Parts: sequence; structure tokens; C-alpha cells
Amino acid sequence: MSVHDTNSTNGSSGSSESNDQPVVGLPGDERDVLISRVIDGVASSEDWKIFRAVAAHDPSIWSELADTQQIDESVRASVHHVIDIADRIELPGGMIDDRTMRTRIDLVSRWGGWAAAAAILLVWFFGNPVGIQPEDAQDSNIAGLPLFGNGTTLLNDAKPEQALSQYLQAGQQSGRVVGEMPEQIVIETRPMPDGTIEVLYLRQIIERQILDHAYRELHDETGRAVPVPVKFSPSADRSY
Amino acid sequence: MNEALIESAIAGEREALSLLWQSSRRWVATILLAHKPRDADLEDLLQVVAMQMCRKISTVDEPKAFKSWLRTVAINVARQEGRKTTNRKRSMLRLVGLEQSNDRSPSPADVIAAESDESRKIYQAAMSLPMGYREPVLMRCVRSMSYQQIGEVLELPTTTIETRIARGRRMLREILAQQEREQHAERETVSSVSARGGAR
Repeated sequence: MSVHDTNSTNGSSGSSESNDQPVVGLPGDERDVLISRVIDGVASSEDWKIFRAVAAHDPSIWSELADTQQIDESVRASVHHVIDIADRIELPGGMIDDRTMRTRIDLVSRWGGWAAAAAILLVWFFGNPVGIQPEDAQDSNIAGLPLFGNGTTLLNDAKPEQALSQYLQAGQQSGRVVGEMPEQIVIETRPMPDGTIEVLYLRQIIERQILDHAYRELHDETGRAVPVPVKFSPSADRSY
Repeated sequence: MNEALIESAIAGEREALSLLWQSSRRWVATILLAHKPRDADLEDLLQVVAMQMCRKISTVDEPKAFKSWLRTVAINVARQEGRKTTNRKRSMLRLVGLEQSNDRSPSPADVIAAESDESRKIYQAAMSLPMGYREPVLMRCVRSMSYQQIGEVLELPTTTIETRIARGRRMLREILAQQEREQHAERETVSSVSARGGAR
């Protein structure tokens, strides 16, 4: 039995307090390797012969074996638990060299901020969200408002509240809109010269979409957004 | 690992690339685990490695070099995250004037992994091994990874891997025994102080 470590970074790992003093004829490293082979189930009959011979003179090797095995089992269990997540990680499927996808990523990236982060998952499957138009888009009116493909304007003569109400109703009927949060978040208030107060606030509307696939947005070393697939387990009862 | 599969992946075949990733991702996770900052998210780092593998595998010269190349990619990703974490901590220190960093805060994955005190203690001891021992010990935890396969990733002879795993396990035993002695001494001190306090 021989022991090698051509690149040892710490050959003298044993301390003076170590309780695993090598027995005569079996240096510490060889004793460790022997124990390790038994734990890994690769000990040969020759190894076992040596092990029994050592144990005959120094029975403490049995408790060393038991302790080391117990520790090893615990480390294995913990590491397995942590790296199980690796099984969910898939390659960014077919998208790296896909020009269309890249264009979409660039569009979303240019938009920037939280809105883009929120929108990116949907962008892949539903096209550009309203408000993001390709640079060469022809279908926009003078005000830059989006038009439907057939040239019909999205906005009609309804007042904003009426238009929003229509959207909420239609959305709820189709299942797209879940509802509107009762709270409105105030972003800023400021007094106006005429004595009134201007309030900027967020209205929160919850929408839902059913997707075939979902992607997370990561950034490569150049800072460019890259989508990577998220693998969901059908049995998982948690949401992400 | 099949050399033909690696060759096909290097040539850009998606199917081969996907199979290659699936057979590598668990040991890649152990490399990341060994090198990443404690609070870095393993899942995020794995995603970045997957992305880099996809984009740069064509730069691998020959199939035999693949494993060590992928390990280098993983180490670089982990180190890059380490630099980011350090920068974040520095800016936090400037902002709030803290004098101590929170290096010891465990990542969520670490917390999950170590549900009991005992297993947490052992896991943390494993993560405190010197790098030369930590990597092979963690990789050995991946089912079906032989000494030879670990040697291919770490570019070390099989005998060296075997010795490092054996020493690493011994070190772990010693670290834990030392901790046990310290805890015992601490308990003794506390109980003798309590006893003196009770006598008064």
C-alpha cells in the first residue's frame, strides 16, 4: 500500500493532540487511506488483511473507522441536499445564437429597470409588450401610441377611467386580469402653484398568464441579458 | 465520460451539449460549493456556468481537456461572485459604518442542508477544510464519482486524490474532535462558575 500527494498543500495535518497516532509499520497517511478505502468500499482483500493486523495491535482503529464513516455520511447527506438543485438547471436551450431572441432581449434590456425585469418572462411568448416597439416599427401613430396590426387604434374616445374599467372587465372575463389591488401606492406629492396638490401613485393590477415555459433573466460577463430556462417540477407545490 | 459525446458537444451539437451538461452539473455544483462565497446563491452560479459552457465550449481544444476547462469556468464564476460580494460588503460598510462584516451568515442552501446542529457543524467543518482537500472530499460525495474521475477534473493523479480524500477525512475528524473538546471545556467553565455563584 502506498500513499502519494504530489501537490500536497498541507501534508502535516495531524496535530500533537491527534488521537490517531500511527502504529508501528503503518504511517499516518497509510492508516488514513486504509480507513478511507473501507469507507468507499474499495478496500481489497490485502487492505483488509492489513486493517485486521493493525486492529489486532490497536483496536482504536475501529472507532476511528466508525467516527470517520459517520462524519462522511453526514457530509454526503448535506452535500447531496445542497447540490440537488443542480438537477433543475438546464442549458439556455437554443437561444444563445438565436437572433430573434437576442433582438427581443435587447429591446427589453433597453427598457431597463423593474418594468423590464417584470416583463421579460412574458416577452418570450407573447411578443413585445405594449409600449415596446422595435426601432423600425411602422405601426405607430403620431403620439407614438401602439396600434393593432390592422391599423385600428387601441385607444378610443373613452375617458381614462372608462377605458381602464373596460380593460378590467374584459380582462376578468377572459381570465387575464385577476383583479386590482385596493391600495394605491403614493410615489410623490407636491403642491402646485394654484394651491392644489399633485399626487403620483401606482395602481396595481394583477394579471395572469399560462406559459409553456418560463425563463429567468441572467446577465453574461458583458452585462447583456440572457434567458435561461427554469425547470418546474409538476409535483412542486410551491410557487416561484 | 464519453469522448465522442464531448467531441460532438464541442462541435456544437445541442443534444450532446445537453447530455454533457446533465452528466456534469452535479460535480460542477460541488466545485462551486467549494469556491463560492457563503452567501452566494448556488442556483444562480450554476445558471451562469451553464451559460458559459454553452457559449464557450467551442474553445476547448480536445475532449480530454473538457473537465478541467469546465472546472476552471466554475471557479472563475465563483471567484467573480466573491469579488462582487466583497464590493457589496465594502459599500455597505461605507454606508452604515459597520465595523464587522457578516461573512459568517450562512446561505439559505447551507441552512437547508444543515437541519440539525450536528449536521450543520459537520457541514461547516467540511467547508472549512483547506481547498486542496475540500474539493476532492466534496466531489467524492457525488454518487458514482470515482477517484479517477475526480482526478480527471482536478488534473491530479488518482493516488493523490485518494490520499487527499483520506487526509481530508482525517482533518474533518480532528476539527470536530477539537470543537468537541472546546465545547466540553466551555461547559465545564460555565458549570464551575455557576457552582461558585450558588455557593455564595
